[in-house]
Amino acid sequence: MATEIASARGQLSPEARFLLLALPGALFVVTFLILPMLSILVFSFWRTESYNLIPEWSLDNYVVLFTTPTYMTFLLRSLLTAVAVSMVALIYSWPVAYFMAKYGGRYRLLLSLAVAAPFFTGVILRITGIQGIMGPVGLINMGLMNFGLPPISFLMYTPTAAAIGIAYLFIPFMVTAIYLSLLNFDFELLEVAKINGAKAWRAFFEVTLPLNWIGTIIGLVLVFVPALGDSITARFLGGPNAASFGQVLSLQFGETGTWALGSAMGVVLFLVSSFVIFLMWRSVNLRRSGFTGREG
Amino acid sequence: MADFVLELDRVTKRFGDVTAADDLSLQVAQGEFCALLGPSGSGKTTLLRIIAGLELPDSGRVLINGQDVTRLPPYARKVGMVFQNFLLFPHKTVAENVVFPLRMQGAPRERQKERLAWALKLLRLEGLEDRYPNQLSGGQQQRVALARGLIARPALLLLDEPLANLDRELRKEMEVEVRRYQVELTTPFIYVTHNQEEALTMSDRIAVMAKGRFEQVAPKLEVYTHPTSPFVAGFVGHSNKMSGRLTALDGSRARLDWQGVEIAVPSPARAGVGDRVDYFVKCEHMVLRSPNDPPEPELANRVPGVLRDVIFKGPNADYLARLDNGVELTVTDAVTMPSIRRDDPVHVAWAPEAGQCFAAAG
Amino acid sequence: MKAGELLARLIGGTLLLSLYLFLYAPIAYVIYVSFQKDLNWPFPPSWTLAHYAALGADQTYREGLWNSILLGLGSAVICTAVATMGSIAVLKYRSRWRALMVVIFLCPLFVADLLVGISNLLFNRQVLNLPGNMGSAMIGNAVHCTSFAFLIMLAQLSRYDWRLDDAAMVFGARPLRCFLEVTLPLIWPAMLGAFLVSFILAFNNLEISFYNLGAIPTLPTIAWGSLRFGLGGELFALAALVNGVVLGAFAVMYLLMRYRVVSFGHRE
Repeated sequence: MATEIASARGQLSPEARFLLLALPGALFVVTFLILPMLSILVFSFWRTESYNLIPEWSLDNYVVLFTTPTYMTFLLRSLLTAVAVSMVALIYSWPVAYFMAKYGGRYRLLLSLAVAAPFFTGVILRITGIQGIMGPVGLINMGLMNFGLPPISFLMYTPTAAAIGIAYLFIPFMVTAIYLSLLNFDFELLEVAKINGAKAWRAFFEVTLPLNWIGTIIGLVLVFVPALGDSITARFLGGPNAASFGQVLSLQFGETGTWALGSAMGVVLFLVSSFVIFLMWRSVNLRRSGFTGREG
Repeated sequence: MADFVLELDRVTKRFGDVTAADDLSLQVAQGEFCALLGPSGSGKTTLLRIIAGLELPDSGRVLINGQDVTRLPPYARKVGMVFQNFLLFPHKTVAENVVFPLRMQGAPRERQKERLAWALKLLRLEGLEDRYPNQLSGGQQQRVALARGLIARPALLLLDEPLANLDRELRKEMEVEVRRYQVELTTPFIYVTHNQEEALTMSDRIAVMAKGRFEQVAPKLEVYTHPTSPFVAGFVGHSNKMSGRLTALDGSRARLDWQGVEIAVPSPARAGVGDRVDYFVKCEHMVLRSPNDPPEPELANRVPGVLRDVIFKGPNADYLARLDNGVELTVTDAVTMPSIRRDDPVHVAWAPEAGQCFAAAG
Repeated sequence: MKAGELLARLIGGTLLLSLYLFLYAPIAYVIYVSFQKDLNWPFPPSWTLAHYAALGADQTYREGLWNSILLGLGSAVICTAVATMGSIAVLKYRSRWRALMVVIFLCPLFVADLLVGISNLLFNRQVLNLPGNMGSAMIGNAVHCTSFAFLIMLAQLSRYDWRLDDAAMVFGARPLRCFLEVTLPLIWPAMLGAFLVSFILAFNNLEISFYNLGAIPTLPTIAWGSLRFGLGGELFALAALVNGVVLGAFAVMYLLMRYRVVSFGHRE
């Protein structure tokens, strides 16, 4: 009897059980992502003096950021690159993902894993690979030189090279996101649309795209966020004329040690990417996307 | 000390605005087979989950063998349960599934073996011990679920639509079997179903539920023949519903103006002349007569119409008659009237007391 | 088959093939070059294992490998644990906090690696007064991987029937016993998937590790350092090795999924 009464205390409400399970992870993310992000927001209003943050409040960092033309150039360049890469990746990924999901048959698992796998090698080693192909002493240029031809100049330390590099790094995300969305899409709906007189392209825009729009948006976010914050690709593939905002940002935490200014740049970077994500999310109408509130 | 194995005392449970269990009280005695019958969303599964301890009621008490278990977690209640879709553990063999409750209770290995043999024999599962659930047929899975529910000699067994996913043939077979086990073991069964045939076939007593309330709790025959609410009258069995206003009230009989046709009905409680009432008559309590047949005094209601269709159902048939006021009545009768054809004029006749009359809601 | 559909197949197939070419040509070339004497123009081939020998002999790389493994394991343990609990909570229980929790768990997807790295660096230093070390790098990487682990768990567990837990509880299993006897044996493949993916991500991460590790080297940070001085032979060897291990891991995953041992959220 006594043990049974004691165990009655173990009868938690579903709400309590939910919180017991979800809170550790949520607190973890809050403590080590959201609080640090808030802390750099605070530091962005301070100033740095010989590698130390001094809590004197001012808007100086932002003034510097927005009045120095080079910073604005970096920001615009990063934004433009990110938008361009996302768009190209989007247009490229749709037919690829569609092909895998619809015609992949029993090979589609293999096909999709093969798209995702290269991502996991890590940024640096993947850039090593790209440099091996596209770099100044890479396969393409050395090949051209061996045949007495001039090197392709746009592959040598240009913004284009950096953009190709970013696309190389993150396109697996886009394809995978759209592919996973299409896996749950009932292709028979297309037949219904066609029987009711819709042409193929019409059926795509009226049925397929809206019902897979969330997956598409997720893919866009997964490509856009790292593309905008890129610092490594620009450094190793872009050269001096392709310096990205992220690259300059990381400088503030390296050689120059101007953490307050770096924090302000981080805040700007985060706000810009949040704003773009917000714009994308506004295009989502949960009810019309076939969202049921449950996975699967 | 306990007269009842299960007692529910004013159990109430709300989910947001929906009241799934509204002040429910019920007693179930040893050896009883009690069905909770209701349409989906009536709260019957919630009630079962409250008894099992899977939901906590907002108020009220649950007593098992006289002990208040309201706040006990499910694992301390020692009830058995058979779930919809069986819910066998897919990674455990038949034997491991069946013996699971005993292992959880920490029963000695000898006793586990002995009980397992007993349960496998009772449910004719010998030879299937080492199979996995996905290697079993629907009926076998069903019997494994029953064996698991019964092996630990639970105080009572809860069954949540256990036959809903079986095909018709198998369901008929299992209905008889489930009833047999219950009689053999005298363990009380609480059986949730939306299928009135199942409830009528197996149970001793039926609690009809709608919108979180008990509409009627009574022996099954009484529920069938003497429904005490318009919901039960409409839900159990197949009935014709006739709505209209009372035109006269005379002791136990009243007269109803049903869309222009005057019929005699038993006097409803709480309704006077001019009030709206609903009158339910089971289809098999009506008969078809030819217009030329002589009147029969006990079949006081006799209305003319035209036979519109006959739907054969084996030994019986449903005769659809369109009356002169345009309404259709369904009459279930033996297939003994080959002479009547579609579009023939017919009379539908029945005794007023064969049906129940209730004051219309609202 | 109609002409339109044939065309669609053709275009899709061609694009997919070109995607594979785009993705794998650098990898294939890296592996090829790693066995060549001449790194710049290795034609005709002259094979050697010298770069691997150099890599193996290099003390820093060995130290980096060990640190990366440690980092990967630590992060993977943390985020598999929180993602498993979080996904069970979200799928099993109804709560008015559910949407908020999902958003929090997905937050890391919206923050670039670089920002996770520098914000953790400053937060640890200024607010918590902690120097950069293995622990903070593990945590930073784990935060970043939590979303991925969470999504993998969600995809896999969405088909788990939580009423199995009800059944276990009714038959006398206490919550812990229920988890060990019923839930865990059925969800471990999802946890393994989440663990593997977060291990690989943390193992290979550059920016978060870089800003949180101080002077402690990991494979990616050493590779970064050496890439600044151009493509060295040991870098080719390292890239070839890591690619080989990752592709091998994926091949194993494919075989497991192909033969239905696990599904990692994939549906046929």
